[in-house]
Amino acid sequence: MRVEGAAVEGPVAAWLAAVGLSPGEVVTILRRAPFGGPLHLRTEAGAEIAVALEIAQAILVETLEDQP
Amino acid sequence: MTRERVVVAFVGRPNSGKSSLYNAVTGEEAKVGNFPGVTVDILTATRALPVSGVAEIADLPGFYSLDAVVDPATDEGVARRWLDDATKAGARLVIVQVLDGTQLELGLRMTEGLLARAEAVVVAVTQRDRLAADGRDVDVAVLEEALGVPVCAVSARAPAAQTRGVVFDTVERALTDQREARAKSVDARKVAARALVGEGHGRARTLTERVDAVLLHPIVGPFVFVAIMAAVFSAVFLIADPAKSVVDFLVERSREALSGALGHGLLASFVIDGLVAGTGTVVAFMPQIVILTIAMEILEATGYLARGAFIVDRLLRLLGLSGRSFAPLLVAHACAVPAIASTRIIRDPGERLRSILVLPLMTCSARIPTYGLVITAFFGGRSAFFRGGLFVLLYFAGIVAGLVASAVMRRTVVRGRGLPLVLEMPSYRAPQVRLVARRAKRAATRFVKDVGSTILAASALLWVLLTVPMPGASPAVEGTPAIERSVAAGIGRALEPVTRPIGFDWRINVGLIGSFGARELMVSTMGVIFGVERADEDPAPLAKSMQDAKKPNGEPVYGVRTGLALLAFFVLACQCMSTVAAIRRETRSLRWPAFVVGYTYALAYLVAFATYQIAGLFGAT
Repeated sequence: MRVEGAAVEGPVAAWLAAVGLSPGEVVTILRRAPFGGPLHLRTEAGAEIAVALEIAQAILVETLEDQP
Repeated sequence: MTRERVVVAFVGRPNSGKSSLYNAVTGEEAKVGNFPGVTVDILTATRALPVSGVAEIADLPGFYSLDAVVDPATDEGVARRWLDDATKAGARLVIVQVLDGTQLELGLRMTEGLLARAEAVVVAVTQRDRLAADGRDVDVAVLEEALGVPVCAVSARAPAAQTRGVVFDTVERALTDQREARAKSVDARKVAARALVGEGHGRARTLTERVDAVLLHPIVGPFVFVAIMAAVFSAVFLIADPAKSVVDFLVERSREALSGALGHGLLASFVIDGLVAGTGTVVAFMPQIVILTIAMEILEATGYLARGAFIVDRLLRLLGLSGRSFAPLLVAHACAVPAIASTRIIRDPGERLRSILVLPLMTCSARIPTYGLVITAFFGGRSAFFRGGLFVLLYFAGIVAGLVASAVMRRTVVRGRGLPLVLEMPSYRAPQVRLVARRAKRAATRFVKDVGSTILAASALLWVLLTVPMPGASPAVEGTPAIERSVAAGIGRALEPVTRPIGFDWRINVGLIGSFGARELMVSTMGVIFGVERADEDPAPLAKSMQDAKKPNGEPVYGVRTGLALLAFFVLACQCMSTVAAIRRETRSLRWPAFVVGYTYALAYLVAFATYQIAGLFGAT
């Protein structure tokens, strides 16, 4: 999936970008914690990030077909 | 020519290998720099550069971005302020950006901002050995050309002296460097793609992936988590408790030796019961602090701490905390003092404060013997099943109280939901023994320095309260202990109207005053009041005296109601001056420790009141 943008507040968006998740990034969901817990993501740049579900839901993505 | 001061600052993302590179470059001796108003440690060391002479070398806290500063007290804010101050102070600032070679692109995103910031910039690429294991390498010349600053690549496997030489030479090159040559903008993705050579077969990645497949497995993961936490706990009880017994023994011996040398005067009593006992309290905490710091550092360095946060985040979100709070909450079940220090890993300031405020409610290891003694004293005649059940109930009452308090505070005192979890999941790595040992040593010295002094002062004050006679008290009556005429006894009697609705008489009040410093002192203070020697070692005679105590009308003074109310009080009240001192240190204020004392005692009184009255309704005496 490619990140297109995120409907989150300023500090959270800045924080996401700092950790390595900004628009244009290609991400893969590795796994999710049970009972609506956080998502475990990996970006193409090599960042692995745990993101709370409520934030992940606010991130707009474009699904890429040619994902391995 | 006057030489300007050279300051070399190591910066980089967390987990970039910055601390181990710093360690290799500066060697063992580095001191914690004084930086006013913050609790984040900045290490500094003075070393001679080959040409430019003596330089101050600083290890700044790891950060992801200099621009996304959420709060000045977090690592980002501290690092930025430090860099600003160093620039203002007129020193020649050399920034060494430490960059994880396996995450080259992520690190390079920060480089552009750093290039604009300092007079000289060096990029040091770490983890070269891991790249090599993957069949790849980083092309230093490509990076130098693209960035316009000196670059070096280092490996954690190389000898420290060699690494130091490489880094210092690069720093020297940066000091003679022309600023104009620097890149104005850095396209991290392109530069990273060009600088990485060789076909990666992704072996390093798969190791972390394979471990994660087990440790983060939806069913196996939580079990492993519980097992690891249980291991940390057992370590505290198996190692710290015997160590604490040794310390207690030594303190007891030195008290005996001192009382032999100093006699039984007032001054001797002050030294022995005030100062030496206070020192004993400080030292007795050390084994726990050291072991817990080591355990937490190992979990952090291996990368498991982030995994633990991932697993328990959902559960803690229900209660207004996030996955980051789990480690402090866990540590608090051993001891609140190191737990309060470990809240530094919580990034959100509101959540961190909330955690600090509720940690004293957790059932710490000091409460366990105290519960045992109170239960023996009041419920000695009951069945073992009853006493055991009461014990378990008390243990979980602490967790429930803490979680409820956190949920309430989120809506009142410390508002805000807190940032939802966004957390880097670093690759698994073997922890470096030296770094872990150094952190443990630092935690211990910091505890003695900051918390120790407060504990000593409070011990001295308590001694005065329990020993000095109340002004205007009736002269000593033969056969009554001196404590009955003390200031504490005066206060205890004055408090009786307040504590009568919860079933405490003046003697319990004095016990509570005596145990303000440390809750385990309750039993020995009660022993002194009832004239029972060594009540903390064998509570049975004290229990007997208390059961025999009768009101003038023949009813027992201490019934089941009082016992239950007292236990409720002990669950909630923050009777631990070490905790109060630790909160003062971590919040840098008097307001929050005062708040903790205020709210826990108010809560303790209310719940004790409810317990006493409800037990009365059920016909308990």
